[in-house]
Amino acid sequence: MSPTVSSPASTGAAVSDPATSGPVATRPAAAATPWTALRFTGVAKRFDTGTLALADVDLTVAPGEFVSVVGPSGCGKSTLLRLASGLSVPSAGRIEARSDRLSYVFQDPTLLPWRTAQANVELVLELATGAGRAAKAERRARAEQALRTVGLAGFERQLPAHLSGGMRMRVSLARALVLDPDLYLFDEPFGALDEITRLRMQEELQRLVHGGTCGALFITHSVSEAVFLSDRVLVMSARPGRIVAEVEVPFDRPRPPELRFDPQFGRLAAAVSEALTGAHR
Amino acid sequence: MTSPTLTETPSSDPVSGIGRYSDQYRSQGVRRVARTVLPVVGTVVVFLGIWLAVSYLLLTPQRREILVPPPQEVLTEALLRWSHLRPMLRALLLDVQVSMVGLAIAVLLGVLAALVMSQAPWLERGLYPFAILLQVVPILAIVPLIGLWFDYGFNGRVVVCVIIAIFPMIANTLFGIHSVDRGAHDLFTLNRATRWQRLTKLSLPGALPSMFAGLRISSGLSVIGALVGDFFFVQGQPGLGTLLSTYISRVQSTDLFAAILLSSLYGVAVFALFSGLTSVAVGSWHGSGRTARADH
Repeated sequence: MSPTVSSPASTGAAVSDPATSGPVATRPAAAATPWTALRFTGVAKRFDTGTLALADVDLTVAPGEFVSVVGPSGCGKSTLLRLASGLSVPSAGRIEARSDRLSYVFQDPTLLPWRTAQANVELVLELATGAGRAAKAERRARAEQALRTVGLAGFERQLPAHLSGGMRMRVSLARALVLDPDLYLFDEPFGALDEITRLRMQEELQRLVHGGTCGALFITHSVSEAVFLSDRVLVMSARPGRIVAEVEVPFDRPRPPELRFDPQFGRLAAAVSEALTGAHR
Repeated sequence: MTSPTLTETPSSDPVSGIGRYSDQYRSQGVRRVARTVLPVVGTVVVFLGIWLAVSYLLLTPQRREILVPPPQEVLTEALLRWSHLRPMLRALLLDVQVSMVGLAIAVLLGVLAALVMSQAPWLERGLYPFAILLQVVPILAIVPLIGLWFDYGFNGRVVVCVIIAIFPMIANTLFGIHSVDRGAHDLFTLNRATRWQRLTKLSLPGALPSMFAGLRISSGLSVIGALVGDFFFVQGQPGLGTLLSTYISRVQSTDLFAAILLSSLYGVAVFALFSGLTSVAVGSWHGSGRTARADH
């Protein structure tokens, strides 16, 4: 545990410095502007029905940074992700994200039931067109690798119907990993899982996502999940959603499961909960 | 065997224990066959019983000959007489051709029409009323027109067959395409799928179970369509429908019943064939095609 690393900006910079030297060669634009995984500036979203879902949201996700958003249900958390991914356009404000380099993990595994685990992971590689499209053999190898990473070696040829809920979510994670994105968007991916599977998935997720240069925006309504996984936790108010509090989580990585019983973990979780109840009022 | 010996056997004599287990499996298999076959046999027996009761108990001998000849007479007077059965089988063969060609065209055109409609809401709003029109138009009203445009033989019958069988294909394919998971569509949008990729990798496979449900209905309708076509278009070789109207006009009741039985059997066979096809095609991942849950 190192309380000295408190600023997420410096964490992000530290991680991205060695990394930007890599992408610079292939992406000259990255050298000109310091590269952010995701940035919202004064973003608002009003639905066609007239409901104001989000009002004046500012947020940044630095490369290598894991940011969670917690908030009461119906506060526009999912809208936030749909905006970030480009599935939906903001009514006001600006969103900067490299939409061609992101992976979206849905609330449900969203697997195609007629495709095997392996074929479901390969799907997103098949959909790529033009120069970015990998050859068939490479697609297979990458999908196999991704499934191995999430601990599903040996289950490649199973149909989703023959996998458990947790395994289906792992396939969904593998499908996100295989794209090797700059930004992960998670929409309450573990919400439907039982408590034990959920805790295990949290530990595996930080192992999978952390350590690279990719940023992650994680939506959840579990406070302990947010604190355990994140470098920063953002608290949203009830509709219209806006960010009302920000809690930094300075723990080192990888974080052991016992961290959840640490007094400082408890204090941070309490701070998030307090902000959440304040936002709910 | 009494219960004390039963509890002792597995530990003291494993061999006989294994024997007993396999016996148990065998009797389970027999029971499963019995469960599927017995209800069918039972209903057939009840059906024959009602048939016999109606012809012998309700009707006088003269009326019996005309209205409901008993089953054994249908068998001996019509089905077992080659001179009677032969024209029926030839007619059936023609109906098989008409209905299968008609069904193939209906499936092709129906799926194609649904695909076109699924591409844009305005296309669906514009075209779907015509599909409904095809469904509700009295076939009798357009028969002269079909005869005029095509012919009064094979082609005309196939067209009637297509008109009768196409609507379930259109409606079910469209329903299947619309019921594909929204999240999966988002996934395709996020990965910049082309229209073609979305169609071939998501909409069509996702719609397959509904398409097969439509196919089962359409296959039955295509048999009806072939017989209805026979009634109207009497040129060329006679179909079963043609024979039915001949038998009625000549009061050949045993032949009439035999022909009805044959056409019903063909309808059942077609339905069973396409139900079987469904479980082969989508049974592994979709519940609708699964006949038995062998894996759990």
